[in-house]
Amino acid sequence: MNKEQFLSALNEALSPLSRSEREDILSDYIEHFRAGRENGKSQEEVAQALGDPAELARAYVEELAGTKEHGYSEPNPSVSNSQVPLAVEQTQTFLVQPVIPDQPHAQEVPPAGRSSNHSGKSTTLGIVVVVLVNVFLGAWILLSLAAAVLSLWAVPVCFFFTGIATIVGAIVSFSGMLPLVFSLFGVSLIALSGLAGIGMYYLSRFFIRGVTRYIQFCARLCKEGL
Amino acid sequence: MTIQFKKGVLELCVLALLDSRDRYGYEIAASLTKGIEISDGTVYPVLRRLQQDDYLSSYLCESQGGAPRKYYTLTPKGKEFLSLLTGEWQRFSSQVDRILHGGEENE
Repeated sequence: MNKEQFLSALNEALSPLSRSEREDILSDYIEHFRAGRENGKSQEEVAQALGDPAELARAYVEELAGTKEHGYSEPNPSVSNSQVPLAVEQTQTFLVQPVIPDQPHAQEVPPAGRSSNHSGKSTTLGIVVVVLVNVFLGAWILLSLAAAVLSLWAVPVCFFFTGIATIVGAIVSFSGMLPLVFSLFGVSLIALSGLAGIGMYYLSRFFIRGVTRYIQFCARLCKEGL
Repeated sequence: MTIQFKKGVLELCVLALLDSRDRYGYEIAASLTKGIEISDGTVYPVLRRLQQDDYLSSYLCESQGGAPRKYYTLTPKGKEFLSLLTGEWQRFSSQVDRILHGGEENE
């Protein structure tokens, strides 16, 4: 992998970040390549030593996503009122916790208890938000949208019955060429109803899929918290 | 070593390196990777995070090569954090040593 390949792979893997952040991060690596050259290393050697761009990018992206989760350096005020002890406590956690699984009888319980307590709090918040949003807004929007979709189904149904009525009416009440003309008109109305029906089928499917996704989103909020 | 553990240790090492004097990224990466088996690139996310948390600040300085280099320096908050982490580390490693060298019968 040469310099360009490394940088473009890194840039691609950093796509969740904003453009200015990406440029800022890439500039660090560009400087690193330059410093490597000044130290007599080839661009390939430098790229090799830098490691996997995707892996590196993950550190930045996780940082973006997980500042709440692992914020031992930036205590989250919503988790605890006393910030300083928390900072100390979490520092301890990150130094001690990973070694503990090798000694299951040691102090495995406290960190686990703490972390579940932490997620428990945000889960409650998630449920509260989901319930409030749905009671005051979400449910009503869904209901009115469902009503709109349902009423739009009247279009194909009406077209269909108007078509039938036109044909029957023409055959019963006219003679000569007129029934044929009206029947053709009726048939085209029925065909139109078919088209409208297909359209409504896709619209309904789209709607149902949207609702499902919304419900899944709400469920996830409840389960995992905010 | 799990990632989380490595992260914490790396932060400590970076802060400690900067405690003696200001350094630029390549230099820090070179000093770290001399002894610890990590890839050079790992240093930059750490530097960025420390800087975002106000433990470090950076400034540009001309190099012999011509192009300016980004130097990192500890902030007062960073110095405080370093001494906190150093204390944690010493307590932690002495506990590990105790277990390694005599183990649990001392309990």
